[in-house]
Amino acid sequence: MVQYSTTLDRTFSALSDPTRRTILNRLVTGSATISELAEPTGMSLTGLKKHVAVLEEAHLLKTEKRGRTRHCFLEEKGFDEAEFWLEEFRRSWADRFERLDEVIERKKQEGKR
Amino acid sequence: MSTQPQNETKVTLPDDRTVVIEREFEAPRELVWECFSDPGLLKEWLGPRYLTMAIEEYDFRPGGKWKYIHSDDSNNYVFFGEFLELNQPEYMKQTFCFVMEPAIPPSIDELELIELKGGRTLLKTTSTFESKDLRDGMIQNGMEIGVREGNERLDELLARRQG
Repeated sequence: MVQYSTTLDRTFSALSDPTRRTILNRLVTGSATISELAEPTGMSLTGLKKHVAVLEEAHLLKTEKRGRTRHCFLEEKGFDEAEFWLEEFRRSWADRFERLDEVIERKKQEGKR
Repeated sequence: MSTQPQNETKVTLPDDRTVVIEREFEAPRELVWECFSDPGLLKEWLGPRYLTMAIEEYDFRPGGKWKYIHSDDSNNYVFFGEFLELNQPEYMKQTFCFVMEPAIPPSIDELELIELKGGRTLLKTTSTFESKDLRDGMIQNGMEIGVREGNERLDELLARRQG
């Protein structure tokens, strides 16, 4: 459980930054080099590398060196975990609301009598 | 029993300290409101299925306090807060906290009931936490309780992680 929490914290905090979300959105369409990622953000290569490192730590992104350039890809592992916790949270509420539907239905029937 | 498919529950994280839950109901908002304002009705749906829920206090007026306890054989989960604003049947604002060591600051919960066509209602709750860590912790705590419902999906995830 402890291991999980640490991973989740890292994932959420990695996803909380708009620049990092822009990077991930770009990678949905395919891999890119660091300079390709830097271009639309107007950021320095050094600044962008820091964001890439945070995403890599959170297992949201993978990098691979090809010759002299570093290519970035999405990594599914990190996404799976963040989504997992949120989905569990959502389901617990969906379950409550299903019971609320039942209460409402009963009250409606009582009102008709 | 209603035979129509269940309405979808949507959870979004619009910023670092907030959780928003949205769900539509096949009833006018006066009725949905009643299910929040009447502790007898609230008790029927709010507690997790496998826990008993006891409402100790539910003083539904601005400045009024509320407190309820979810329990199983070995544990009590105590939740408490204060109603800050009530505007029947459309808006409620309350503090929300649970007893734990060390004590944590409460979140602010807002409930909005929005009238839709055809006597339907959109329920929207917005919970705002003091920090991102508290928000994320709450999502996980809710989860940890949920685990005890014999969650197969968690087992699957664990198996995958170990594999």
